[in-house]
Amino acid sequence: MTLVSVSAERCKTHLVCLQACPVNAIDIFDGVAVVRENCIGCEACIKACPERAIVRTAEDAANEAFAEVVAVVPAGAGARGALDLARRVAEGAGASVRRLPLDGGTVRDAAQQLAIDAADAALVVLPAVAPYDQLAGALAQRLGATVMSNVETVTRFPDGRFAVEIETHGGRGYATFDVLAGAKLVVTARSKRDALVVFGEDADLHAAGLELARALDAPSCAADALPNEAPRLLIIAGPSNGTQLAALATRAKGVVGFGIPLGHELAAACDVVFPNDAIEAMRAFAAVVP
Amino acid sequence: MRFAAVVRIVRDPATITWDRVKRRLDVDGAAFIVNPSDRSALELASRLAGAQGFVAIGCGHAAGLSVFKEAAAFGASRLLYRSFEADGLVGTQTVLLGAVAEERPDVALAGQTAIDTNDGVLAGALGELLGGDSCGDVVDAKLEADGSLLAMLEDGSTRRLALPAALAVCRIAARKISPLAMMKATRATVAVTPVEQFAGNVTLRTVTNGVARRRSTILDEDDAAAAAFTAIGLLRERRAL
Repeated sequence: MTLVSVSAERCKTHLVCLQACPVNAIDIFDGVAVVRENCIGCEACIKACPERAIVRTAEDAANEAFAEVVAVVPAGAGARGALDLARRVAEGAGASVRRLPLDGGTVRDAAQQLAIDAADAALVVLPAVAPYDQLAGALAQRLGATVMSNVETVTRFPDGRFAVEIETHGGRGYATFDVLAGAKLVVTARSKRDALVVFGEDADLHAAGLELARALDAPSCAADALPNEAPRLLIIAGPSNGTQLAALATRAKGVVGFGIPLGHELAAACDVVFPNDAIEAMRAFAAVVP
Repeated sequence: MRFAAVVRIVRDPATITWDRVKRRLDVDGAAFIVNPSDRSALELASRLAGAQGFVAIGCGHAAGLSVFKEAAAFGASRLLYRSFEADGLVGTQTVLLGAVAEERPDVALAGQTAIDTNDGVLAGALGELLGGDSCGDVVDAKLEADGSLLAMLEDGSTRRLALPAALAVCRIAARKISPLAMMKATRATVAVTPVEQFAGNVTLRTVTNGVARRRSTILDEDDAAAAAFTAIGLLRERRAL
């Protein structure tokens, strides 16, 4: 592939490109300018052409490939983040989102199928949960694409470059990476609405806590049955003396405590504490949470 | 049967501080640790390989080499380390995949995530590289008489995989290594290969502060709705919503 290419429809054979080319890499064939392999990509022909018939090949290809963002959206929990990210990127770049469902099967089979379905896409987004993160790795390996996990934002520049922001160092920082134009990108994204409601020892808060969990479309559990993975948003409904909950809170992005007395160990682990009127506060929070 | 566990030597997030003067995370001063999830991979590799041992393939800052030797205490019979001086946020996967490609194990094990970059895609890439399948959320595995691998998953289900295969191992209880074993491990021989330059399409531009020290905001107001809106604003600042 040469570094620049000519649109046969636009070329009017003015011959100015031939005169502009410093390495004689342009010929006229069948009434259309043709670029030869010795092109050095200096773009003198692009600047000279009055018809704008010559474009950089890589950019052209990147723009065509970015007509759409492919979001792999399986049914079930964890998929929402991928679709949200795909939509945000597409909106910013004027592209459309194509949703690809998955029918199950092995990671290898799914990667094989996806590599065909998403062969032309410059960006593929998958959920950041197993087995889709394994699928992302397998797909990237198959496509020769750059792959990044748990991506927060992707910005696509007009020249085809991507800027990708990911969380780093266990949530202590964010790193922004530049991805070269023309590179294919496979990313995984976690749902921004990844929340968990944990019930403490105050039984009076259960009903309001369940109401809040429903509003957030989030699971709930008791303080002595915590999951290993920290959610993005942790809601603590009532105090608990277990140390595991405080440890989980340190790994969550945001922690809200309802009915946690000031001075309680958990209060210091929360970003926001509603020490009093916990039921009313939970209902108000459920009513306005986006 | 050949087993390989990949080990990422990462900065301990607990020792990363915020440099107020330079207004950036002071990552350079942080301690090195074995990526916690990769400790689980080492543990499972040890259980699967038993006395025959396995190869531990490590990757990280050159100064993290001594930490990598911990793999020997888990029963790794060979230690290979790809070292680099630059920040390891870029290219770790590429480097590890290159090293695994040279070893061609029947079973490759990796931690489900990396604590520095939240990388959850490595096992999938390893499976594809080996020409086999991969499976995540693995908490245990055993080799079957028919030569397949039975993986036990976190949700209690099982998956049978033909070899070669790659496993993404999630948090499993790694045994406590005795001080004597750790001392012996410090004398283990490591084949170190310096990595001069990462190949790839990615460059690291900036690292910014994400979650500064948690500071509790007490909302004890009469207007519950106003307090709720304030809470949502604070959570958005922390990117929790």
